[in-house]
Amino acid sequence: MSNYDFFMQADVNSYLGEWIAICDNKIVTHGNDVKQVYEEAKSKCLTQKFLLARVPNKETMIL
Amino acid sequence: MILRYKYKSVRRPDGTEERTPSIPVIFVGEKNRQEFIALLDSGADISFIPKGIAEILGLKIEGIPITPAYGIGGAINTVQTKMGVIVGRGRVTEHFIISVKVALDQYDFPPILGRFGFFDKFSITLDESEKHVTLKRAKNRTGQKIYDR
Repeated sequence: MSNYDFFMQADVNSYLGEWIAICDNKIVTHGNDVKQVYEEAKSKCLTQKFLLARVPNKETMIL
Repeated sequence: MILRYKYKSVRRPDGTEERTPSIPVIFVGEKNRQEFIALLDSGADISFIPKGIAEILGLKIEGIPITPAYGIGGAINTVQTKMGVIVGRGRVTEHFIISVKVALDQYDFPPILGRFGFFDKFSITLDESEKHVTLKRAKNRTGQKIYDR
């Protein structure tokens, strides 16, 4: 399963407003700082590619 | 090339459901390339990313004039630069360079793909009733195969 396919079926409701990183069919790290999540994902996913996504906020977003 | 993506569903604590027209993309900078989920925003004149993503990619943002960008919440400081974008997967991919505004300071939001540089390369349908988005490359539209993601 691709990281994107995992993201689409994953329950991310526990991570509202946070960045999540996905590799190896799981969410390997999460947090509020995209650079920190990126660095942690690099160390956990090693040579595997990973996906970064920001889960929508609790509030409605108007751009 | 036609790509179709389902909206991602997220349930809020109050029980309401958020479904967003988001797609997987690979952003390419001078230092790194990285896959993100990006939000399609037909109301955005141009694409936007937070500064943290620009730093991950190694985009050039120093020495560029700071200009304001206006939204419903007011103005934010930005710099405009360029980055690579890859859409699709496997042999069905599109690669191009887009202009992107980098939001300075501590603003945090998902990558936003706007009209100039991204939407203008596709015919994009945001189907709110069926909750999916379709991207057709803006050339050779006849006889194209549909790739569901």
